[in-house]
Amino acid sequence: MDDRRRERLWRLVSERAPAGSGWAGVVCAVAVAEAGVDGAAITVRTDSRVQDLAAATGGWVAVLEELQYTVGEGPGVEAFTNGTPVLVGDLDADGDRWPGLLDSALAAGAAAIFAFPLQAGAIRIGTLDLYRRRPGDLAADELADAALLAEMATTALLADSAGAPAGGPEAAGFYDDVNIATGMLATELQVSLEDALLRLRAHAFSHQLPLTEVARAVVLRQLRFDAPPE
Amino acid sequence: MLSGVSTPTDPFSDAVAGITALLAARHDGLTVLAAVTRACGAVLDSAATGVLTVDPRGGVSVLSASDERARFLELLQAQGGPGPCLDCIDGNSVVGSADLAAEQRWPEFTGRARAAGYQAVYAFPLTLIDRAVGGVNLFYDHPVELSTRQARQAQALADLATLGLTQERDQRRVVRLAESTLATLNDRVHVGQAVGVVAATLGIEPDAARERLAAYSSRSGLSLREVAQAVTDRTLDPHTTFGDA
Repeated sequence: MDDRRRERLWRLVSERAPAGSGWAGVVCAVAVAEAGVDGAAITVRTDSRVQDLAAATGGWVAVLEELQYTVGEGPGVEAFTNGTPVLVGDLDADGDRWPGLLDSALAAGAAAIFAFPLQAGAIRIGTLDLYRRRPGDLAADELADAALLAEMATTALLADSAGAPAGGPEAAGFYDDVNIATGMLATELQVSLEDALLRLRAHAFSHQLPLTEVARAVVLRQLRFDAPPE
Repeated sequence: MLSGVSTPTDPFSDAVAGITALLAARHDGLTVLAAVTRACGAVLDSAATGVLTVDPRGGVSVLSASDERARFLELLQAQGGPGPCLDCIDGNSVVGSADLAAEQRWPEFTGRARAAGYQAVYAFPLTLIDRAVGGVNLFYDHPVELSTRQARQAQALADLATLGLTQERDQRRVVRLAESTLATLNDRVHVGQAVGVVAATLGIEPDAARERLAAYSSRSGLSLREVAQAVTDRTLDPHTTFGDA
């Protein structure tokens, strides 16, 4: 049963063979077409501070991933930390576990979030996050598809990483500006990199701005932070 | 509903569907490679096809060949020397010769290929762990210029081969790939932060800071990763290391 499902999904993925965009993007597209969700994203991460967005099906999905990065909590973060799927069919009703995320995620258009850890052998490498604009649990077959797609997302990430000659540390990542701004801020304020990133995230959160926008302003030297009191 | 699905009579999608079924049933990488090799013949009309990896220290491993006769295998082995496959690996891009009679680049390989009856050859990169490690080699018994569409199909088949190797049952490879994926992410973050530290310390633009990090990396022989690490843990002083003067 699962094998037939897996085969069908693999076929859908292969038929969209990546035209430069990578397998991760293909898996997200198939998730939206097949698993009854409105958006999908794959984030590769080692912890809440080190992550990158490998693929997202649209701008609003990227915004939602960025929100979880900004506040450092949410279904994706929890799925990664605990190694189990986190299924939130009604964010409005059940989202108070993530007080920092709730309002902004609802405002960004997410009514339901389903997050799956990506596991390669004993190593956890990221999450597949699925988003719905309307509340509602995943139906049984959608859940089965989603679980298989998470398995395929793992293979996709590894294949993309393996197949990307330019994918070394020089390649551009989605959060490049955040990393650069972190280094700049740490130097200017004479604080640790961890503290600098926390300041960036706190600023984005309290001003309701995307983290990448705040980082961009720092990189362009349009935004300066006050040094912490001695 | 799904716009990407093509008609079942198209040999390319038939081939892809067949390979996909193998991937789905979690067959090992070599089985997938054999299917890719067959598909190259069926879809791209190559007279012979060989998938091989090349070790930079000189070893050639033939992973799959459409023709197991010694003459063809020897020709594939010869790809460890100058030839389209090595060039394709070096450049990580397709390298071909539409007419070997007019080929100047690899006289020895060309001589062997022509003696074996081939008049055109193409090599598509097979990439694993951040670099091209081998190639899918197509041999033709007549001169032929591959169309853009055919080249795209060939690369898609090579990518499926990569996918097959990636989801190999061999857990060690999966773990190694996972580690390299995460290491790449970590490196990217460190390099970005180091760029920021250098930019802020010297009061220069991030792009310029990135260039100075790269220049120091090639000057010192340290990898970009090591340079970035040294900057972010502050064992390298940006002023003395990257400053003017």
